[in-house]
Amino acid sequence: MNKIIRQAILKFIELREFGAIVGVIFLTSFFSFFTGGRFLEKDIQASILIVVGQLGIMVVGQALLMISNEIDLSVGSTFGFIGVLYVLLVGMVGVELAFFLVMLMAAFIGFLNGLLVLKGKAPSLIITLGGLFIYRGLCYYITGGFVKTFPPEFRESFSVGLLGGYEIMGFNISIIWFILFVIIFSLVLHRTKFGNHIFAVGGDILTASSQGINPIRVKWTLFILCSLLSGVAGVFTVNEMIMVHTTLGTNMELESVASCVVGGIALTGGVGSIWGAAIGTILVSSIRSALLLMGAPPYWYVTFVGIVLICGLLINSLVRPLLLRIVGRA
Amino acid sequence: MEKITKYFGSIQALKDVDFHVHEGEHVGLVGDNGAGKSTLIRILSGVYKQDKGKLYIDGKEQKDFSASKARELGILTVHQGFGLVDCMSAARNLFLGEEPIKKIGFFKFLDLDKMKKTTENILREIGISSQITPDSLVATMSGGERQSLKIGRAIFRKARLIILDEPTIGLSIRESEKVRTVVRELKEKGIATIYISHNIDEVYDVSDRIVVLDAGTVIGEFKKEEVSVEEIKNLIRGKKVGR
Repeated sequence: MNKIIRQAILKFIELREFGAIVGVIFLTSFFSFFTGGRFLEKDIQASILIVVGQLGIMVVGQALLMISNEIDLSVGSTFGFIGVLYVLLVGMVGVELAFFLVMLMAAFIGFLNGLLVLKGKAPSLIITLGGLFIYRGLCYYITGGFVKTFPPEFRESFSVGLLGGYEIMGFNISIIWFILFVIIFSLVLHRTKFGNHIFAVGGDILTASSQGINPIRVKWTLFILCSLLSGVAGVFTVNEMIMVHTTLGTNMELESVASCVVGGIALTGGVGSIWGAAIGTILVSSIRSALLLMGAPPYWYVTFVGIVLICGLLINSLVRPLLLRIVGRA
Repeated sequence: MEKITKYFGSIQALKDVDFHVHEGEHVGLVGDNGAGKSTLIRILSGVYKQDKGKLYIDGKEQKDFSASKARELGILTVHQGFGLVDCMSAARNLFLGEEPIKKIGFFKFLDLDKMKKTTENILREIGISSQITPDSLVATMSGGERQSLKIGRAIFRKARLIILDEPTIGLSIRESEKVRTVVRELKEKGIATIYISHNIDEVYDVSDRIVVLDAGTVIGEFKKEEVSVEEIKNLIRGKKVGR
């Protein structure tokens, strides 16, 4: 085999995002074949990209937090709670002020998560699991269990359009925001001092501290950022759907974690990338639309996400080393 | 360090310890487990504060001494167990906490070119094989290479005194020798060291002077030419050194 080609293949297989890339290629081919090419049509791709944009914005925050060796299981409920609160406030104070106020609330949720985890010295898994139930409960309290619709007088406003309502060339604006967030936070992660500290804190907290890095400050910032981005995703979703229901964001915490893990982020921290998590998001989001298109009942979706999660992990832990050995010997 | 005393609860870890290091001098610090070596170097590196006694650097008494103050004054510690993040590259580890910045407009980015060039020079200076590049993950480096990289980082950060806490524990004979070579070369650069190890032969090899601690007190202090390895071992075992 030509040496340059072999080196390129080796480099590709060595990527942590290898499993997610293979997964996207495989599932796209699989779904395209079984839907007679319908899967690749613009309207289907546009509907997938709405989910990619909304879930993806949340995933960016989750990815950063997971690289720092923490996790936030309350993101789905935060997403729902902020969305519900936003609809309630828009009717009272208008879109812009409502957005500002719910962002403050989202930041406060992140601050609280950070406070309890970092100062209370409790595992983030448990603290944010508690948050998952608390904010879901608040969603039920605010809506009374009913669907709430967006006040009609604000539906056509520029701010609502900009924050998730507009479509550009048939695609929802949230996908553009998602791409923007991926670029910005990839730069932050790989090209800034703060990003270097995120990897260090996630990889070896003792070493990071010994080099003068404050792990509490790094992680606390990420808890706040993660909740903020979940809130942003919640607002974007509400602006697109023009209504909210109590189950808004249910299971999204698991979808976000699955997207990160499939995208090559280690649960042990210190390893991963935003773009890997973004590919993981595309993979997870594609499944729902594809299954619906193939006529499968919606409840198969979670089963399929589980299968993809396990397959993604196995590709990274078993198939990737095997391929590296085979190509390395060739 | 003058008359340093340190208690942990009712246990006295150090009792009136006098300890000094001259500029560029290599001092070996030995003693059995619980002798007080770690406590002493933690006070010197600003991690612990002494209960009694005075700490002087360049003849100046240090009253509000801390880990960051120690680093600022050029006192750096190379630990055995930690000090490098395995999943990060050599370059990113070398600059961890002191990353160079390049301004592009309003934004501040890492100066990756500078990080890589400097790391490349340091890797070669401390004799790490050319297979290890600034982009190599620390996880792919051998134990000896990791220790050398930590020492290289201390040199780069303008250390005046490097405290080496069991730097060769768990390393092969060849790797230990490599690390000791790097330590010996520090002498030429005028950097002082405190070398702590249970391997007395090793301490003897790299030190100009050897200090023996036992139960929190200094029980012996010798210039290398005044004492043999066997005599130091005997002293630690509880036998007197005959002169």
